[in-house]
Amino acid sequence: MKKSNSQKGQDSIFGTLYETGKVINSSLDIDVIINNILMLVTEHFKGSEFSFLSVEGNKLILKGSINHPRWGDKDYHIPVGKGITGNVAKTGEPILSNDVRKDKRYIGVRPKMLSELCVPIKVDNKVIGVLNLESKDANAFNEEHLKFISAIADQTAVAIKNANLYKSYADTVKRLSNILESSKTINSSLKLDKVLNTLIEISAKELKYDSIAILLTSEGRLYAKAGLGFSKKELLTYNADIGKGVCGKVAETGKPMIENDVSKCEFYIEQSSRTKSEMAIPIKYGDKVLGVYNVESDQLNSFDKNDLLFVSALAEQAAIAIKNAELFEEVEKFNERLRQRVEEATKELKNANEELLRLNRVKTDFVSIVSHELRTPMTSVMGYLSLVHDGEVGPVNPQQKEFLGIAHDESKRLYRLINDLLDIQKIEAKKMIYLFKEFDIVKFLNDYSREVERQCRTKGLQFKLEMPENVPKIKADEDKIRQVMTNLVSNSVKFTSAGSIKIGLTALKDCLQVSVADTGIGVSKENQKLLFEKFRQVNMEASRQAGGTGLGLAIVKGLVEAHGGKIWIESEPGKGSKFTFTISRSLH
Amino acid sequence: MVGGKKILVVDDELNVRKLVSFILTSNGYSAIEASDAEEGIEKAKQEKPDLIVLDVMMPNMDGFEAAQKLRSGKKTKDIPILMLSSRAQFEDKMKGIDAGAMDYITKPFDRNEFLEKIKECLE
Repeated sequence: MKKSNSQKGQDSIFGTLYETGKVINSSLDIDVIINNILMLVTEHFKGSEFSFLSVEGNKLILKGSINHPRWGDKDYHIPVGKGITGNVAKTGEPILSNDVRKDKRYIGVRPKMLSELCVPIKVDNKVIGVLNLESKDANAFNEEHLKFISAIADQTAVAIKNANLYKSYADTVKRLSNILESSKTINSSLKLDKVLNTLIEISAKELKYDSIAILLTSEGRLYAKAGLGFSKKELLTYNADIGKGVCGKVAETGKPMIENDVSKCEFYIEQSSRTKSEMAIPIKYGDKVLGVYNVESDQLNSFDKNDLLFVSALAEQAAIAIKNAELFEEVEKFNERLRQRVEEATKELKNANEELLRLNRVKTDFVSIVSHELRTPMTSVMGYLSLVHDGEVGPVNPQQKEFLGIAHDESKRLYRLINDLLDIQKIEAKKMIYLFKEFDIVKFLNDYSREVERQCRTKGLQFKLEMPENVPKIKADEDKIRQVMTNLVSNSVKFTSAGSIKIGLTALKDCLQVSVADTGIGVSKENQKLLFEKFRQVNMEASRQAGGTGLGLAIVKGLVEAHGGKIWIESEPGKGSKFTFTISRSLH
Repeated sequence: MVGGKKILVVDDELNVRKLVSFILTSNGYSAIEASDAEEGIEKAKQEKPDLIVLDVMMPNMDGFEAAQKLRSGKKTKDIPILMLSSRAQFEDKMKGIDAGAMDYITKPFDRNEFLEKIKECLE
């Protein structure tokens, strides 16, 4: 090693130094620089181990090495002051030992090594690491080597200083991008609390702090509006007089302040016993101080100029947020007044609507309750009348029987009226229950006709049923269809004194059409329009005598409509009427 | 032929109760009366009637609840019930059947139809 080195001479060493200079300028990443230097230098010391150890606290940590067997072992370290490297780190002086066995400082970590050359790397007079060469040969290194490695160490120091500078620039860039981030928050949020808390969060990432608070001025005092490192209660009660304490002075003068040792500040007022340093930045809009951005730390010397610039930028953002919030509050107040007015108007409308709904409900309930309540006395009236009429409690003479019969029939009419009222109320309140089942209308009309035939025979009328043969089955509520038919047929029978009643059925594409035609008194054109309205008996006298309630056709219309159908009348007074209704074929 | 079948009439309306009892007794049944659901359940346990005619709208306990109680009572679970109600809606009838009634007739009722249902319930 010694021979080859001396033979190669100075040229090679200068060449390496030149190369080192290039390496240092080529990168700002400390790890890359170290690695490249190690590679370059090892060229001259074939067979030696070359390492870079950095000083971290009171330890030397192996940060890069060629040939070192412990390279990559994260736990490997040497205490500052121990061994040759430890001593170099401690004293800042290089050591050249050509037989470590004779050196007291040597701690024998590597028993096979005989020569060691170690030089410090100093930045601003502080040892930040060492470069260390070790060889198994005795007398492997000389003074020239020492100068050479020292020159490399100096260059490395410059490189590390540059890299650190770069890192602090990078940090500044990061802070700037944080500020940019905060301005985005401000632009996207009009809630002052949210903005101020976001600003505090951003500053918390970058500063040494025990507490951060944004205080706003109000009537000669400062009140905390947002904070970090306080309990809710502490934050609510945190306030300061303008002109007193660090915060108060900053609010008064509008100039930022850093007190890196509060015990030396004569106007310092204690907020927290932990506080050792404090930085307060005014939040200004133009010349007006809106508040103070205050950071306190439990360590001495926590704040520097960069921190001041950083927080000043955040304070500017806070000022914008506060102004925005004031404007927003005014707009909100206006909106609130508007909203209140709209709400009041809406409430009035709602009340009116509710009252209408309530009245309708009362009406519905009333009809429902009354019809149920009427049933009980009706039961007694009709029950006892029929017992007496039927002679169940002793003989009655013919005239008594006739009169009791009338009373019983009229009771029945009253009873029908109750049922009809209940039905119409259910239809109108859409509370009628329908059971749509498969419905064979041909079979139904065949069965039903027997009853109609009987009625016609009693009145001496003819009866006809006209149906096609193949009628599709449909879905319908049979009871309701029966109710419709009963109404129409009883009307026809009622108002026809001679002639015929005819029931017809036609199957159309999307519905079935059922008609009930008579040769009765008929209905005039103008009365036809009123026919399906409630209590619009067209021929009042006749229908009363015939026991009508005035609700029948209104109910029929409702029931037909529930079957997806329509009902109409064709009539000529004196010649007869024809009622036709449809049932939809697409009911489920 | 109906030979003294015992029928319990439960209705809070005196006049209706009297009417129903009269119709029943004049048609060969024997009738006992109760003026509310609780009394009805009590009498059903004691008298073990062959049939109960039960009103629906009664104070304190209605006929639906009474029917359920009768259905779950050891001594009364097999006694058929004919509901007699002023509630004529379809859903009321279903509710009555669900509560355990054998049949349902609405007020005001036709005497012959009523007697027909009594006969059916006793079969």
